[in-house]
Amino acid sequence: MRKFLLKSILLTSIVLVICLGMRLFIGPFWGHSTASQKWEVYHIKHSDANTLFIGSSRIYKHIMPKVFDSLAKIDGYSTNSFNLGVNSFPAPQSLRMLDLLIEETGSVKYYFVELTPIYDEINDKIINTPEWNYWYDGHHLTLLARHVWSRPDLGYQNKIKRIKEHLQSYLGNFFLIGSAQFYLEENLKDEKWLVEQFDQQKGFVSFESAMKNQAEKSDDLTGRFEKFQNDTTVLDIRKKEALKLKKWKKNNDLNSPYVEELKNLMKKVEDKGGKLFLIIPPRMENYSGYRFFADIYKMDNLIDLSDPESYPEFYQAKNSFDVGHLNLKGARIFTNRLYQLIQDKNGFVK
Amino acid sequence: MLFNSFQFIVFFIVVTSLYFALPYRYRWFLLLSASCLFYMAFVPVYILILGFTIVIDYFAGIYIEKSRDGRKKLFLIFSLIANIGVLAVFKYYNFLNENLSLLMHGVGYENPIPYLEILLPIGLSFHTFQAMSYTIEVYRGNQKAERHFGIYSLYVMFYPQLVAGPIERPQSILPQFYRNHDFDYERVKKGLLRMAWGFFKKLVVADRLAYVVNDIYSDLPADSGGGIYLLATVFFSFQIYCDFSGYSDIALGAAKVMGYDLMENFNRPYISKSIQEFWQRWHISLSSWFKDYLYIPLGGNRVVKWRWYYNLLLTFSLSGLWHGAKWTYIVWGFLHGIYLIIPLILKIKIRSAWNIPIVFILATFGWLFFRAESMTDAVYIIQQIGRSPFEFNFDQHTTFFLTNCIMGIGAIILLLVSEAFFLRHGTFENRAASFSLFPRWTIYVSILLLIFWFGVFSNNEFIYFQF
Repeated sequence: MRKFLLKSILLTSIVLVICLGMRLFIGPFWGHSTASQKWEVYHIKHSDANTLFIGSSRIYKHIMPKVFDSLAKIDGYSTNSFNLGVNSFPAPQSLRMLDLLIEETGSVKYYFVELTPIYDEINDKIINTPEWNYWYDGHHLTLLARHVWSRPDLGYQNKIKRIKEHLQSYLGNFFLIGSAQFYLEENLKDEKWLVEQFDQQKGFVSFESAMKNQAEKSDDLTGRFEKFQNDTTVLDIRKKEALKLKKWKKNNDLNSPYVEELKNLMKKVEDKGGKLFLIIPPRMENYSGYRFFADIYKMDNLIDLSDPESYPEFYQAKNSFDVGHLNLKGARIFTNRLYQLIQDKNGFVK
Repeated sequence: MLFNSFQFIVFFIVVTSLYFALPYRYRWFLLLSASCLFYMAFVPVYILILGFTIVIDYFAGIYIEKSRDGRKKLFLIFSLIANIGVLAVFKYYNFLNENLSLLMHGVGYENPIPYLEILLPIGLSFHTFQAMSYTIEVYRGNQKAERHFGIYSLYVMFYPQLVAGPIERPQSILPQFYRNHDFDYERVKKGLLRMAWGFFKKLVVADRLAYVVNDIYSDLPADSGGGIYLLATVFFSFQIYCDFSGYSDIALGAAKVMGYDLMENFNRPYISKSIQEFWQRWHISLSSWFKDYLYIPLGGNRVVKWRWYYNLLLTFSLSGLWHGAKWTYIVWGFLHGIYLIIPLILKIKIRSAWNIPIVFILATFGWLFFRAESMTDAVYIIQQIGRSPFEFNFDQHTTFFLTNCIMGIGAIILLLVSEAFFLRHGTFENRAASFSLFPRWTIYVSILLLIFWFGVFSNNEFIYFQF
């Protein structure tokens, strides 16, 4: 029995060392195609950016760095921004990206991060695939487990199930589960146009141009666009949902462990002479997850763009691509509004 | 609980550790409890069905042994009816009812019998056949009736082979539950190697091929070209082999770790030189069950020719039906019956290596029906292949599909090379364990990394679970 246990430990260690060795050759977002590409373009061609936008498609498709920079230039601020937003990239993935960026020595002064609910329930379709596993590390696994455990709305069975799945996902990332398929698929894809756009448009790619150039095919852009065109009244549901956020903000004093994490990240950015802003996007399917950010709502660096009463233009069909996102025209308006709000908060330093 | 799940890995480690930690006399109870837990991870309430057949067959075995002449047969028939009855209700009721409806509509009547909305209990076909094997062997005098209810229950429910076989004979496995199996390093190592080989076949080969097969056989795309349908069909031949034999390997390996020897269920069926040989190498436990309990009692080949052919056709058609309540399965089985009869009628007896691709093609053609969702789909697929067998329109498919085609071809090549190397003169684990230190450890590390990096971990069910 002892011989067996020793040899098992040895075998596991060898496999672990090989997997760790392989990790030296792969990026931190190896299972997410767009995140990997943008990360690479940013580091190779735009590492001098001093303003970064991080988050999901509601950052990626809504913030136009060139427009942002030109507005800043008019007011005498020197911003050189890059949009690191990526489809299907909410917290906790986006917070991991932020974590990595803050650790780097560089020129970044302003971080604008989408504040999203912590997505702690894994989609059945992508569990145990690189598409989900890629972003796990020990720190974020612990944070996620603590977040799940702290949720008063989940039963113990559900909490244990979710934590078990996250542990599984962490091991999946550690051992690079399913990585071969990901790398072969990346090599077969022709995404030259998209990568060029990341460089030319500083990370922003509108839905319209992606659809026209047949990029991001797996997101079924045409299907989503046509579905929305057939029934734009679905926006009313999103408006009603967004109005609930006011209630969540007022009636809760819950704080996820992620709030501490965000505060720590803010402090780290400040220690480096920078500023971190949190953006609440419009048109989410569900805002109930925002009730776990009680302390965040007391902060100055929160930019809330979700309110349909304050920003009705974000809920108009003419500015929309699909039910959850703005089109190019809407993105231009969004970028302008965002810039204005930052100005109002004296967010920039000359 | 699926073998290819994190849950099973934890379950296996815990159960095996407890097995070796416990004194021998308590092990049957541990294994029985673990097997109950394993089964209940699917649909808990269905353990009652298992319990029902276990109780019936336990007492039937005792009464068969005690009784004489007519009463002996009566108890056997009672046991068989109970088992076949459970199969009939849960597996075949709706199929029979549907065909009755078609018949009645044909003559202008409505079928008043309602359909049942019930799920098929997992592994039903396997454990009922294993249970029937017990009562038949007791009746034939080849097996003493098991008096220990717990041990008998374990015979039916032993978790490694509970849901997808191999279908064991009582003579081979019951005595093993009475033996004390100490921890033995070599045996445990070989058991784990066998499991690793099974996981390789399931996760690296079968589930990879499944992406392509499911896409084509479910969606039946119109513009793919017949070549893609042909590719998907060939892929299915390897998918079903690796899926099922992979499961058997994991079952055999898990049992071996604890000291139990289950029967070999596959022996490289695609190197068969005849269909007869194919059935000596494919799902051996099922084909031998049908041979011993149906074909031979019907007279086998010791009857007049037409009766012999009839026996073959009936046996194989029922074997098809065993797989599922669909006409496509029956056609598959019937087709294999025809494959066996034609050489007999034409008096062909060649068994040269040149036959290997011919047998593979015949088997693959049969798999087309097995996998198709209906007879209409099967005919459509045959037409597509026939129309343009060399046309491959990958433009109609996603990069994901193309990736899986390429990886699928690579996986098949790797499988064939590995089998030629490791299985030529025995089992994978014996061959792997025979190497010196460095090559042996290279094999261990390589198989694990292949599974991790090339495997599909989307918790795909094993194909034979649906039977």
